[in-house]
Amino acid sequence: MILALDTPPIDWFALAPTLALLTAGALNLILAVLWPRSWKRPTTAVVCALGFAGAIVAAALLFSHSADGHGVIADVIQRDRLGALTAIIIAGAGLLAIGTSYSEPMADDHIAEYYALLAWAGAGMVFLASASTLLTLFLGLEWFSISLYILCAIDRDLAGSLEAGLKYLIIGGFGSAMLLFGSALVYGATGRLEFGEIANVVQAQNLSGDALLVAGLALLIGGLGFKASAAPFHMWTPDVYEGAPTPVTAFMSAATKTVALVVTLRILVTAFPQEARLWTVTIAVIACASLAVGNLAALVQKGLKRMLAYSSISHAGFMLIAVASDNALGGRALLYYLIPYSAMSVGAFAVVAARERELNRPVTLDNLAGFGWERPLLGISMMTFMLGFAGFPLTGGFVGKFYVFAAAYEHGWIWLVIVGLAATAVSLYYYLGVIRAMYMRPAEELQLAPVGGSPPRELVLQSTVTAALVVTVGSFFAVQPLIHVAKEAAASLPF
Amino acid sequence: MSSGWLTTALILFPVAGAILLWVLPLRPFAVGSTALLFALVEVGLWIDSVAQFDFSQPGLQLDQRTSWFSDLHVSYHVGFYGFSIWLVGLTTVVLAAAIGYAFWAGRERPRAFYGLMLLLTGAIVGVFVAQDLLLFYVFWEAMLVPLYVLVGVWGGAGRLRATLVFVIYTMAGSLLMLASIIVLGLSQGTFDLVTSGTNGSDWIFLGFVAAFAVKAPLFPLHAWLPEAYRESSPEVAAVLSGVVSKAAAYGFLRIAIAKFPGPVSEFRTPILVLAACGLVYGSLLAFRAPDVRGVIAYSSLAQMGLITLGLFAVNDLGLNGAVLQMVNHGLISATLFLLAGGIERRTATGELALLGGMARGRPALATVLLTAGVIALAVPGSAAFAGEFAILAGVFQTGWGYAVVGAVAIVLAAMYILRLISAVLHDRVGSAVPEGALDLRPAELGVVVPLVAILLVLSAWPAAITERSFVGSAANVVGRVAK
Amino acid sequence: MIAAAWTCLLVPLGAALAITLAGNRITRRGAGYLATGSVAVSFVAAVVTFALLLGDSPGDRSHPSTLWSWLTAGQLDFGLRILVDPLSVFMMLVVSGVGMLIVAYSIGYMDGDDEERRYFAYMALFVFSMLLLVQGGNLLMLLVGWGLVGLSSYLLIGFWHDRPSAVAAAKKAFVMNAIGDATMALALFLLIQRTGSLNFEIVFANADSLGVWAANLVALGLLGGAIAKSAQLPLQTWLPDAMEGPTPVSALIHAATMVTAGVYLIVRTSPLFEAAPKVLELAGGLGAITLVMAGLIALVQTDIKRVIAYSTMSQIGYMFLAVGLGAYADGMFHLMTHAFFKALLFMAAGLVIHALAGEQDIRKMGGLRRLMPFTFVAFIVGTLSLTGIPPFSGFFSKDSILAAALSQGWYGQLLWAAGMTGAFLTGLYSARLFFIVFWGEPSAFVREHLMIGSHASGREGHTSHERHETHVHSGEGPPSMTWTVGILTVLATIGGWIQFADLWTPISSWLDPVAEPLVEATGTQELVSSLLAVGLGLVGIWIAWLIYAERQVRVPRFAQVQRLLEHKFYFDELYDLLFYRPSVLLATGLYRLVEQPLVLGSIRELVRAFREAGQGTGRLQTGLVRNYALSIAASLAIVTVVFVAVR
Repeated sequence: MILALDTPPIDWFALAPTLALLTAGALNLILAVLWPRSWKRPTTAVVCALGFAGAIVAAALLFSHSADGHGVIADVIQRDRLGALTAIIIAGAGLLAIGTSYSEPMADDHIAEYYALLAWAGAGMVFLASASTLLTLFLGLEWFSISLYILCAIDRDLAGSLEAGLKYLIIGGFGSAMLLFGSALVYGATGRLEFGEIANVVQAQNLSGDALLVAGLALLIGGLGFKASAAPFHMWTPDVYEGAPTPVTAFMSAATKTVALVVTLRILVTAFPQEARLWTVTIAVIACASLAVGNLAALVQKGLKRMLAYSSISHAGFMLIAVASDNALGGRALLYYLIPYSAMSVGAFAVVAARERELNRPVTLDNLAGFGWERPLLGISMMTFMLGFAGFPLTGGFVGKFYVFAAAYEHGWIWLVIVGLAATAVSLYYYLGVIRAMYMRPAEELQLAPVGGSPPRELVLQSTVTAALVVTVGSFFAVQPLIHVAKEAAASLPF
Repeated sequence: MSSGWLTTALILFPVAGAILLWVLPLRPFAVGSTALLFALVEVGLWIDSVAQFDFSQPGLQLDQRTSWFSDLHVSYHVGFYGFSIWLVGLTTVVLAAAIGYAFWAGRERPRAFYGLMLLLTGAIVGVFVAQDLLLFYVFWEAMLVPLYVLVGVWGGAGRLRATLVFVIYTMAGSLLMLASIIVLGLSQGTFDLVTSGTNGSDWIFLGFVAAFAVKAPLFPLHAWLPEAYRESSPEVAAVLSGVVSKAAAYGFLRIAIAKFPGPVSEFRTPILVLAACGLVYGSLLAFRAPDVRGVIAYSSLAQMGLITLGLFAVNDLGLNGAVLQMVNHGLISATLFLLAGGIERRTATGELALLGGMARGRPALATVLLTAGVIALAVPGSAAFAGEFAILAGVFQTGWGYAVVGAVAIVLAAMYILRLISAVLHDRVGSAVPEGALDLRPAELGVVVPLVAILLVLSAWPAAITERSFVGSAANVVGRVAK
Repeated sequence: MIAAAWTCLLVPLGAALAITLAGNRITRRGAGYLATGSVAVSFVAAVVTFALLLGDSPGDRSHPSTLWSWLTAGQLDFGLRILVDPLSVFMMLVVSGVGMLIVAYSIGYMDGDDEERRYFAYMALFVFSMLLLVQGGNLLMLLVGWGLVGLSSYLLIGFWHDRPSAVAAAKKAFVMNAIGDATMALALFLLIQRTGSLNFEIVFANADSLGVWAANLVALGLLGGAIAKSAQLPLQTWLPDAMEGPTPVSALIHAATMVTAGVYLIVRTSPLFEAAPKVLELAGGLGAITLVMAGLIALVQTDIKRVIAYSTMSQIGYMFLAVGLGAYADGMFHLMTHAFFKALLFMAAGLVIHALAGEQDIRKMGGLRRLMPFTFVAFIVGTLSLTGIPPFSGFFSKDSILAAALSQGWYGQLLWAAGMTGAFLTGLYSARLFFIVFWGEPSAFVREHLMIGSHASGREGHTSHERHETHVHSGEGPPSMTWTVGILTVLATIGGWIQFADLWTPISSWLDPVAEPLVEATGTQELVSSLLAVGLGLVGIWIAWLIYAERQVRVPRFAQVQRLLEHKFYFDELYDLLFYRPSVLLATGLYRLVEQPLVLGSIRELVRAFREAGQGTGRLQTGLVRNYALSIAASLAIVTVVFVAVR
């Protein structure tokens, strides 16, 4: 006899972004086997790009058609604008990452796998962004993490790539373990997996402050903080960012952080509203720690990738301020800030990649000398990204910081605003240091000339950087529409 | 309203010029002349705005407003008050002179240089016309970026340290202001400077004061000043001390004093004391400074102290005098820095010990430097005298002690300016002065003489500004600005 | 009348600007003529103004005129305003008249200097400033003129700017005057606060309602300006050094006009001073001390110009004495006669210096009587007039001052005694100068320069210019110099006759409406003091004759006294010790102890601290996986425990 198991109704539309990326990845695998080696690089890249583009389109449609958020597919994922917007940001970052990867000198034999994994990592993130149960949370997390572990290690010719992958894998496993354990404790305490239900049960059975529950919460925060590379769970970040192929670093710095932060916000707000008094303070403390560690350590870095790694830690801190302030404005601030931040982050790493290829050696402040004058476009862009990180006007970074601080003030935490401002002041030193290295040191000081003269202009990369530049600056002038979108997205959380 | 576009144009026109220079592949000469053209047209735009401005009407004019982001009630709101129009004029004129000087002196990487200069023009004008707190902050920061690069790339040997200290120090102050802006704006539900009311919070007030005091700078927050003024190229130094410092004074007037009557009366004494200290301190250090730029740098520290005295006297004489003196000092220090540049070009040094005797055979240089210097030391009858007289007369009514200190400073000013003049022009010919060192060239005269000419006109008629800065009693107007 | 007054004021300014802007497009000679012409125009304008003012009844001879508001603030409005009244017209006549002669004289005197244009521009600027000073219709305009004359004096003292001594002297003069300006400004601030205006009529109307303190402070502030400008104690030290300037400058600025501005100021603001009688007496006292002291110093000076400079100082002492006692008209009268004979003396000295190729040391001179007869005559007139021997002008003005003093109670009599001493000293030092220079046999130096037909063009400081162009020496100087000296000789002789005691007093009756005198000397007092003063003056001359002409008596030697006088009572040294050094020390100290370590050092330290903190955090990053895992676990444990603890 036939065992008939009833499948829940599946909302394919809600899954569309994820599916687009999965398909792209699968196609690439097939191409990897069937396609002539010489055609692989362009084709797979295009396919992957199409996947991300499709994801963006789908997510955009999803955004417009999910005014009221609701669980789909047996409520394991939430179909709402928060997820959709996050998907858009992630997919956008993915597109830029592809542009960065395109002329990355990697052995052709694994190029197809590379793009496949990139697509799948994106898929995992997009899925995670709308996860609404502890189970799907863990699923999505592992999904993209595993893809990233491999991506970090994929370039065997690159010194440190393998080490980076291994480190990431081990520590990452540790992080996932924490997350899983935390979920288990929460489930043990409440007997529910859905975020919303957890809150209801805690409400109904008055479990607030239950030992298991709060312990689980602590572990969950730890696990997510790890992915967002927030201090004190940040330790892996500099090494991995430094070791991994630059395009991968670019993707991680933007997309991973985005999804991790959004999920943190979602789970904390939807599942643990009663514990707010605990986690707001904790997140605030973590934010301060990240700001302190990230900025101070970045002051003395010579290697650019490592410096940017620390800067990304400090930015985790900035955005966690928004999470900590636990209000609609905070959500808005986070979602707005993520847009210019992702653009600046990918863009900055893209410029680094370009310079790497010129010199084929790691980029340091010293061998940046004169770069700004040799490559006007890349120079101006890098300058803009640095100013954006530092929160100067005419970049979205300024408005982002402004909103974050506004949120903290609205929560009544002026001290947090002050900490953030102090951190900004410190960060100026190294962000401006990059500009100084690019423009203010005469080219004579440049120790090494580009290998074989300056290489041909990489059209793809430059258009990528330009795109990032446009987003960075555009988000400053187009605050109104973006904030509107962010507002809509944040509205799907129960503030 | 259509006339508001003029204000916007004053901001955007130079920015457009900058972008044009960056995209168009022009020859160096063409770049310089284009930039100069833009700067001059900018001056023309300002003249037009003066023509359209009705000085008999109180309140904001030539204003334009569009929402920027509505959920926090931030808007793009620009417009002129009587006093701000003069500062905008100062900006356009000094920037034009600076660009002209650079054009004559020749700067490498001209497209970048002139582009940044024009960008700077737009930003500074923006500071003076912004009527929204956040917009004000945006322009305030936007000033800093071009300056950072201008000092850092085209400066002297010690430029890197100078520019870094300058930017980080001023940013530290500005960030405190940002905190104040956030708190003030959110607490009163709007960031608009015109519609928003006054506020009584000491901390918010101090946040603003910190930013302005660092930027001005006020003693003892001037650590960035000596190096920044010494290391940057002459025309940039001229802009820094001539115009950028005035942005701070303007901030005191437009925000700190206008919006915080309570805290002002509370913190007036310490601020006045600091300003007085700075006045004497700067004068004394200027008197001992070993080089031309050092003298000018510390003298402008002293001058900012004086202007602050006038502002925080918060009475008609003080405020009018302060506005007048802002314009005077802007023109004076710009002139002096450009002349210092000319001297350094000829002698390859600014060391007073190595200079001297340049007056003989160089009548133009002698006459211009002498005139500028004499106005700088506020000889009675000069515009600077009018300004200082009004300021001190004003602060005398607040506390006679400050005026006495100011009187001492007048004597000190005479001492250090005469020291500068005679060390450069008089006595025996200095070892660094080549026999063939030329007199001021026509181009240099073309840049400097207009500034001096404006100063002379103002000397004949200071009331041109004091009559047109505030409608009726300045003290009340600042009050009315505050609503 | 107003138009004439404005013309009188503005024409010299126009000339100054024109010469400056014309640059090389105007010849040196042309510049000279332009300057002279402009001053001449303003003299004519002054005469016209005077004539028109005569037409008015003595009651309403006060005509203010405002061109435009110069400085405004809310209700306050300080106009670019002049006041035409007897006093200002009186000064206008003196300034433009004497000025015209001296500028004309300069054409010959400065001939051949390679910066003549600059010189004449400065001279014209000075005349403008001085006229603005005396015509200013409110205290602010007065202060403006006050400062501008200081400026022009600075420019002209330092005219030979490659002479360090000249530059130093110029700076000294300017700074000392700046002190005076500052005190005046403070007085003005107080007046603004109390009366809300600076217009004379309003301020004077409220003079009595100022209150004792305010009145005294205001008067003191103004007095500070007056003594700085008129080189009275204790701000007198700049005047002798000012002789570094060209001699015509000394004649015009440091004898005839600018230095007497202090007297004008006191007379002009007499209501304010009368509200503070003690300060007024102080002014008189300072004048008395100065006149004696300067007379003593003059005895030992060896520089022809410095002797005259000190006599100027002492003569102004007389004027201060007069106005300090409230004898305003007498003071102004002496101001006028002094302008004549002192300008004469300087210009005659200028002839000597010019003839002797810039030599000023009287010890090298002698026996010029026969070689320069014209100069000799001029010098006699000047000397006698200075000493106050009738019928020369000095006699009339000085004696009426002494008479006024005698009529003023014990304080007045004290000042009277000082004045008498001064009369004796005056006779002594002026005769000494005269005899040394003109009597006896020509000295070697003189012969070398005057017996041989040609000599270097007589410019002081010519040594500092490389090219020694020589020109045949025409008599005692070019006509432009001689005829001006001639005119002044006449004026110095008859200038005093327009007022004689209380028999014939046009000047008093002209000025009294502006400043009502506080004293009236009786005929007997006039007689007594006149006889005594003349007697003492003659005694002085006689002694000088014995010592320096007849050489019958050797110069009495008192080493200490001599050194004291040669060091001018050590005032320079004192001020150097009291003010200059401390301020330099303070400045250097501030730089070493505050600027470097605190202001600049703080930043350096801060940056270092942050970098070190950064290195510290960097070191935490060991790169070892186990450490990472450990730290993560540890921090997690902490968070968990805290949660469970505080839940």
